[in-house]
Amino acid sequence: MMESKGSHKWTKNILNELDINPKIVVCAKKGYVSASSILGASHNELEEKLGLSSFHIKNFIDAVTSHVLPKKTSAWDLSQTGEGDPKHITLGCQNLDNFLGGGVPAQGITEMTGQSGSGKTQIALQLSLCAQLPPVAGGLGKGVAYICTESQFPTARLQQMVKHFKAQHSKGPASYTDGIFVHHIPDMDSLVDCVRYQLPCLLSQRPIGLVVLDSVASPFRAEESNMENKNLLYTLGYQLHQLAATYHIAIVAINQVTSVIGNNNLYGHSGNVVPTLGLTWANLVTTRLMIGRTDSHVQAEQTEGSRQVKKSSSKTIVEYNVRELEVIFCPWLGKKSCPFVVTSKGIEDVE
Amino acid sequence: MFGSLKGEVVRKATPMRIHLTCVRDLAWCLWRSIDTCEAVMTEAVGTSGGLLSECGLPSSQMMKLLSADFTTTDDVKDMKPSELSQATGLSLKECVEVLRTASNSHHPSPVDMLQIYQEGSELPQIVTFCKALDTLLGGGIPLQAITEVSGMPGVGKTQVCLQACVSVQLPKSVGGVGGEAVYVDTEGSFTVKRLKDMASCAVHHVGTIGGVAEDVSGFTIESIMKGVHYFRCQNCVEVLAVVKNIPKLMLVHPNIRLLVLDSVSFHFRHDFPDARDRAKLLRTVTKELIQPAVTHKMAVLVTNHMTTNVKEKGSATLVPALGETWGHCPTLRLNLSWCGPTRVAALTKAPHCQNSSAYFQVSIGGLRDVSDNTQPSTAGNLQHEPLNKKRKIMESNDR
Repeated sequence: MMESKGSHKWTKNILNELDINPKIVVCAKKGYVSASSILGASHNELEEKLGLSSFHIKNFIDAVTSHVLPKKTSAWDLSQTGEGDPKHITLGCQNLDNFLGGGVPAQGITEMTGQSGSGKTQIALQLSLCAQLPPVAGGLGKGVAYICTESQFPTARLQQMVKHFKAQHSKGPASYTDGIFVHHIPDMDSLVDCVRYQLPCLLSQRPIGLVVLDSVASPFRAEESNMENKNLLYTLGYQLHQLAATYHIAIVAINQVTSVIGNNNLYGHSGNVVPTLGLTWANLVTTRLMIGRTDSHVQAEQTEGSRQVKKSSSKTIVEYNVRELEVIFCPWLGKKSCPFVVTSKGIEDVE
Repeated sequence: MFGSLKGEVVRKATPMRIHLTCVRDLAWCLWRSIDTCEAVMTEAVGTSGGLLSECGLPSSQMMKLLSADFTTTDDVKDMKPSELSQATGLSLKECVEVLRTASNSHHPSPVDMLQIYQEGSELPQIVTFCKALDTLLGGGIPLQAITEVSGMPGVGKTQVCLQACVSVQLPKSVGGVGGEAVYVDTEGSFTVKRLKDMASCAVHHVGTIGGVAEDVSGFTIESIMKGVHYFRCQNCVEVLAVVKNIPKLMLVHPNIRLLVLDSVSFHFRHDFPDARDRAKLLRTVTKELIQPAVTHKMAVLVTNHMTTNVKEKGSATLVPALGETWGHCPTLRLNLSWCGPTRVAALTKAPHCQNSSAYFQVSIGGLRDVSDNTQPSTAGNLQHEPLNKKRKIMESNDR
């Protein structure tokens, strides 16, 4: 059922679905059967090739146009139904959520980029748990498809986070790990195939609300940057957008950075690093978030799960490096940044 | 005038039948010179409405129409197909076609340059609420033209589109266009919240500058939101369908004055099954975009991605995507970029002013000037005309 939507809708034979004079159908079968060929041809060309009168051709084009036309709505209708509001996935942290206007944007493709070790995978793991919370708690109430392209999926770290997460959030599912579907895909061709064929299958079978790509950079950086690979990268991004729109899911893609010499102010972000994959990928990203380490640290007491720490018992003082989450661009957020830390529990605000 | 000749004409052919014959046939029929017959024909053709013979109907139908004395579009105008069928002996289907053709055919008379100039300079423009940008554009985003806004991701192309959707609805009594907008969204970056913020600021601004009360009181956040018609297009065929549907949409909403396509390049850059199909569809889209601009006096605003153009020696420049197939289509090309922390708009193609640039910023309420008054040097911009138009929006209208 889902296959009839999307790109196939405009290349398949639609003649039988139109409410038009059968004489037109007979003539059109000569070569104008798909929406793309009919609408792509000019009025005169159709008149000439099909040998029908202007009146019939106009009816034909009108019928095809109405058939293909997307739903007409207005900004007012969107505001009333709430469809036009951007959706978010909470990060479980008050400050970060407020900063981002509710959580990590779940519209289009949200990219998280930054230097290695800055905390991107940590945030992705946190999101994988938060996404499974019910909508009232700021999640999506659905599962997660996690695509790993670099190293092994950090199962141990996830288990550690799940333990704390369950204690903190009571409304979630019984088993968080059951709701995360992990794929390991190291090369770019398999990645594009997965997004094209396997993901739609998975999405139509299971309730999935979030797809994480960790990372989108590594399969493509290993290859040379020629036209063919750029097209493949564009296809990947384009297909992800189609999936997001068709299945109403959030897409989070993790990217790397590279140091740059010279003009690095292309995105209005000053600094000595720039996200990889160039303009081809940047044009496909809806929201770009940059994560990095700062020079400051905070001290906190490290507590173990739900065990009460008695005043007399020895506490471990741990120093955490303060990280920064910066909005590079987003259609509805201004450019700002917000600090956070990575602890044993996962991502936490800086008090 | 032709006395005896006329008598002959009446005897041999009714004056109306003259219309279908060419001069030579008439001359042969009446045994007179071509000049005489030309004069007779000119006199006979004095009726209002176009000639049916010039409508392009098949000759078999024309013969039947003429034998029943239908020669001009006025003759058939108010008839029903069944009546026409009875009178002429044509089938019902053919009559429908005749009536449709007769009602459609009109012969536009040539318009002289002065008329075009006068009409053009009277058209209001869509202000951007940023004086520098409006000056750069010669008053604002022009109607009856296609404006392309290109730039890196995140520089503010969608913000310009949203601002235009609000600005086009500014009431006429304060110098605005007073029209509605159609937003064709291909990337999903349309946010209702941003539109609402911009609308709220615009309403507040109009409230402070006054204008005709009835006109201005209708300008509310709700009316602005209702005046933005939204289509979410998942592929290029849907984009094409929306653009082709504009004439029909105009019948329901005749006051549409802005068509926004955000963006034209998103659906055209990925792997098409057939590369020729893509080029053809793109050419069709460019052609179809010109129609609303010219016929319905709309402003068409299109956003475009940037791409790297690698030249022979290894140096690369950033250029708008889609190449020359698309490049010749827009009348105005605006490129947005960053200069340090400030956004810059540069005009790279404009019929009326030389290439120059302007600083602007994106605030909660939309596009605004940057706080300090330093602007990049502008060369040869029309300073006079845009000031007049701009003044309308900033002061109350006391004409």
